Amino acid sequence: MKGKKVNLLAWILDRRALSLAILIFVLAVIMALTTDTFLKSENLFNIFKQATITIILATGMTFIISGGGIDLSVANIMSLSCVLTCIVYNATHSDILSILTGAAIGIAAGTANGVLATHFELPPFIVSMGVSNVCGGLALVITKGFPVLVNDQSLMYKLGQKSTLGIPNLIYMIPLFVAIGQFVLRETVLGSRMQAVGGNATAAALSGLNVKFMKVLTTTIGGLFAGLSGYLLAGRLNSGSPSSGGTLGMDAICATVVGGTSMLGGGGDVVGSMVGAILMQIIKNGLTQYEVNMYWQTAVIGVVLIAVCAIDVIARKASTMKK
Amino acid sequence: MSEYVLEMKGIGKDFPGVRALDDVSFNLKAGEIHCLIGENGAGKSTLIKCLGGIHMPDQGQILIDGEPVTIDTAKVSKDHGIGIIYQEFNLVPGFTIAENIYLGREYTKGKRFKRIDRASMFRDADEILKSLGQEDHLNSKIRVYQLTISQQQMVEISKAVSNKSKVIVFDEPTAVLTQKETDLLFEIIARLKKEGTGIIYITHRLDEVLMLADRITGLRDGKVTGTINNGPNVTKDDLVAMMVGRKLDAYYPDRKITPSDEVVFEAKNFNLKGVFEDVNLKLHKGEILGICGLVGAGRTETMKSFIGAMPHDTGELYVDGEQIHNITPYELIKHGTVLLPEDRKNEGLSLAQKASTNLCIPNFDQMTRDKVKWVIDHKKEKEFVDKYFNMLMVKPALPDRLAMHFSGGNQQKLIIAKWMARNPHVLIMDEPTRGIDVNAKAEIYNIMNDLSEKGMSIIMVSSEMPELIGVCDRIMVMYEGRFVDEFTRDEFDETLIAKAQSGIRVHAN
Repeated sequence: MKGKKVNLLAWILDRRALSLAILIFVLAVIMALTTDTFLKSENLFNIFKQATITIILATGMTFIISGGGIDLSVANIMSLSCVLTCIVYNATHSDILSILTGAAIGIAAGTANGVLATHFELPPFIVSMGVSNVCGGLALVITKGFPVLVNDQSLMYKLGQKSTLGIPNLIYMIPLFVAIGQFVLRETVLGSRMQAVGGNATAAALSGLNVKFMKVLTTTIGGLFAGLSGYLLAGRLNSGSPSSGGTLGMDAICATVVGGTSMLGGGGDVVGSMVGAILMQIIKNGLTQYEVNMYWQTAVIGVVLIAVCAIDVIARKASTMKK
Repeated sequence: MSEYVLEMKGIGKDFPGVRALDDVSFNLKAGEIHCLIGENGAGKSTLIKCLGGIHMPDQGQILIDGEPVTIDTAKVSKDHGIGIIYQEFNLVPGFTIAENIYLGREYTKGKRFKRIDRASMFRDADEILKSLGQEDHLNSKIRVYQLTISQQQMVEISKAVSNKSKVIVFDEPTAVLTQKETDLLFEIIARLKKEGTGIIYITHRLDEVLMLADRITGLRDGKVTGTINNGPNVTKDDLVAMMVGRKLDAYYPDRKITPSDEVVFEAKNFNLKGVFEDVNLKLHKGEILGICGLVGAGRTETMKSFIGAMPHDTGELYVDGEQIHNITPYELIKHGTVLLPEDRKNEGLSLAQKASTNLCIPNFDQMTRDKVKWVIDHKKEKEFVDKYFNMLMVKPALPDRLAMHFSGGNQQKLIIAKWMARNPHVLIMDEPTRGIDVNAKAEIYNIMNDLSEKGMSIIMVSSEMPELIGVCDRIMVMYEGRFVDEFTRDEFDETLIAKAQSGIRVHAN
């Protein structure tokens, strides 16, 4: 009997995304029953639209954190990308060039993070803070602090503002990015090796893996996702704003950790990160529904983050104690 | 085809200040268990690391199936069919057993997108677990963090087996296992042997050697002392003779004093389940008491629990006859008892801070301003630092240098210095000379001798028997968490003590 209990606990722990999804469902039912506005399609679309950018950032963050690192720069990489994709579009009127610009900025900044951290052995926390300031500063210098406007003929405008089959285009980006991220992380050899390096770098090295390369790859991927989300953010805001990143980078870390990716590395789950981001957005939305002062939202999210991590640690301790 | 699956010829390896391996030759046949014995620091682990691609030998040659090879990375070692199960396992905790077994050589499927083929990995990993007789206990889908130590070891063995290893090395595999788990391991080793795998088995446990080995090689101070065939007439005494026998060096100080009978520190019936049992110890004024035992005997844990840095289940502690009820480092320091920890770099010093800061950390109360007791007087601080730097002759005499830039011996001196200011009268030193060069060792011995002549009492834990014999007044021997024997200075005999630390008692209790 005892053994069964442990297995059930381990089974649930292994499926964080599922347990969070159940929690989301419960919250949604409560809100649907107690408010008039929650179930309206406009409100539901809003939740997912607002979560989109966080989810894409968190997808990249899942690679970085499960690879044993941390990255504080994704928000500002996104800001810089947001600005430059607009400028490039205005100069060339080419959607492709604009997207490529966003991707290139992300890859460059992400790779810089990784190379500085592994080859010069600087702490990722500090390196990414530096890269963050460089990117954020550049975005301000380039725009002199003013948003860059784009016209409504651009692809980014269509992605950010229009709908297809009654659903906002932005929401289609969620399954697209999450599926790609989850596939690369979980189904490819490279993805699996990145997580092995995060889980135990010595074991990975003794198995013949190139630890430094894998670590750089995680930050490059994280940067790429940040760069692309900058493009989408420009569409959603209908402009390239130099300070658009804001606290979204922290939200992404938060979603990733709540979603079950351990800060100690190894075992990343992009779907979990997505569910984590949606959970946080639903809580924020619910607080608005109940007319709780908006400023409380941030504080509540903080409590959720700590609570989820604490439950995880306590549950894991309990499951190993019983053995 | 060569007679030997593995030959190591004339292997030499130097580390700064130490010749770790000197002309070591070793060979292994298929289907043979070859035990490697020697005291701590004899060079067993270094030899294995040369085989595993972690160290490159400076001299000598390694042959696999008669072909000379160069093993410069872990991968090359694996590719040559060498599997090593280190004392520290190398597994990814969040991965399944199968993912761990195939880490670095994952199965793939699909043409355009190479995808990980987990189904096949699980299938083959289960097959390996079955070949080891584990199909009832383990399933390759279980994640490693859910496994016991013994099961994790099984994963390491599976890794080696899955790689079609011709040679499998076990480094102290039973140190962490219970008796039942040990029996299971021996069953598996017998299985591997039958299938023709060559096995190198390292252990301190002489019973295991006599039981398992086909041949036995002894190492001492990086040199081979001999290789013998195991048989009914080989005894533990023969094995001990292969491990010990170093000459005592002349650099130990003369002990001029005899310790008094006054007991300054006493532990009664200390117990910590599964770690140490029935520990009783009396330390006399002016005495240097040596504690010896093999790695894993529980020495460090016992010392840490004496000062409250580790818990204990039951036990009483007396300092100067007064019982200490609240055993914490803070309380023990107040009563003049300090521990110089085994792990100097992590627990003894704050390496990234200045040497001077390290000296001051426990002593800021001695350098406050006269009137404002919570503000540091930097003049006093400087005087303090200079005083203790000179007292222990720390070199170089640059207190502003970061602690990490001092040599091992001088780091140890810094640790001693920081406690001298607290005027302790009981000093517990855990491996005080580990990893420091010969001259610095002699300096540390002299400092210890001086301090004891001034009335300080010292407990010295060491894995090096010659230094215990050279420095101590009395030696207590620990074996599997218990003090099993005790020797006074006139009874010191390296062979007898070595026996005692393998569990063969010399004195009746």
